[in-house]
Amino acid sequence: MYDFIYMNNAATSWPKAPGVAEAVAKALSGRPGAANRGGIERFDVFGEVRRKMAALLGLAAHDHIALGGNATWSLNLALFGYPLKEGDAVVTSKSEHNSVLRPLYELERRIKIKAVFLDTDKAGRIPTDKWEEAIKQYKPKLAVFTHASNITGAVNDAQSLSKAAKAEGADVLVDASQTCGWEPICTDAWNIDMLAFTGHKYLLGPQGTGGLYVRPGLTLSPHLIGGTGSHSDLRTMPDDMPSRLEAGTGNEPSFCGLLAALEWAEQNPLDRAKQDDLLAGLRQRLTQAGADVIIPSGACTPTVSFNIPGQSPAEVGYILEESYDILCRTGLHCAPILFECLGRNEGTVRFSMSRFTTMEEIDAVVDAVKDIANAV
Amino acid sequence: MQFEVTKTENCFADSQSYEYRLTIEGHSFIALLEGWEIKEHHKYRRPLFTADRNGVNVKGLLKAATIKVSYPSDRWESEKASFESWLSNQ
Repeated sequence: MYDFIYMNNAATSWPKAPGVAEAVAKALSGRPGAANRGGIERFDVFGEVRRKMAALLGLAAHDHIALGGNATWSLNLALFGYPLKEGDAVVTSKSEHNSVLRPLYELERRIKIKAVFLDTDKAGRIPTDKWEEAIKQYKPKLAVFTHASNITGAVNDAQSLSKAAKAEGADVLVDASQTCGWEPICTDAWNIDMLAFTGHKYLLGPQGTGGLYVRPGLTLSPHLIGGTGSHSDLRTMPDDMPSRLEAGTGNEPSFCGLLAALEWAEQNPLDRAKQDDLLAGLRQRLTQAGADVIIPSGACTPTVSFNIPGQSPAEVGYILEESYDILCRTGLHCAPILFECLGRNEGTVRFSMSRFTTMEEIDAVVDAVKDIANAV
Repeated sequence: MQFEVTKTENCFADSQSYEYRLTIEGHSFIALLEGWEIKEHHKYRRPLFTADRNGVNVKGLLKAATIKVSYPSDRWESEKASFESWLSNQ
């Protein structure tokens, strides 16, 4: 018997990595570090997180990672800070989250950029050949894509998508919210100009942590302007990274938690083969239980979207939560236009696992779905 | 009947869903519903009910005092006012 089963890790992870809660508590009760800013002797949690994130993301310039509240903060920083002007094209996909879509809609209104939203395949993956065609056709100044769909889990071929965009002279922004901590990311090798990440999903850190990498040589206009603890005599934000993009006091306790999560993950690498087996098993058993499951081929995050014929996703989600104590996500998942490609206008039910999801939990969620499907 | 109400956020288009905390449990509540299409689902781990009328959907556990009500997006304000007025008079 269980108290509840958490299957909403694509929204935020639970449980967090061992040691995260203790690190946050210790930071809250200990002497603040960021308030005095700087000094070799002083423990700089932000600097430590930057170094570890640089190693994880495969990039050399750790001081070019600006840290902030979440991936939405990062993506806004990138999209509103990037030097776009009227008539510039931005190529992106229908798989994007509202944290990309809404800023682009806003830029269409504000400065009349031309945003091109490319169809995905029926599993939510961006087709590389169609992407290349769109890049050649529109010659965008900026290409933006999610590394993986938050609805189907389909991981995009970031290296090929980036290569195609760079070949036509575009800068590349990647939303790695769904993959950071789960999929390998080689930012420098893939020639990515900007990459947004969050700390609270597959990195297993606290909410309120995220960041944006900006390659050296690319200058963004700061989205937030204020104190940086440096160059206080200047009337503008400093030019040097990461100060240029980090105004205000940072969330030191949460980043202490994220640092603990990163250290734990270094000691406990993800067993990807085991996770892929669990994912395949869950998809297969949900299908056998009567669910209509979206099953992308190839690399995927541990996310499964499905519908139960004859039942609305809202209804299914309600029953799962209220009657079975299974917490998942239903609806459009903040990526509304992907449903045009998936052909499921009502949305889906989404189960998203973590490395802590057990076989017993999978047994229980499959049994619950079977009950619901049989009741139709 | 006294009740508490709060809007529930979700990720559906045009959603107008509200949660109500009642002073009675679901099985007693559905006895008050006249003219609604009521279904009871006893095969689930915790049995629940659904009730539909005129585009308004009510659901809840039979042994809990919280219900969820979804109103049709095109006339949710009038339907909500009507439902709450009816509820107050029970």
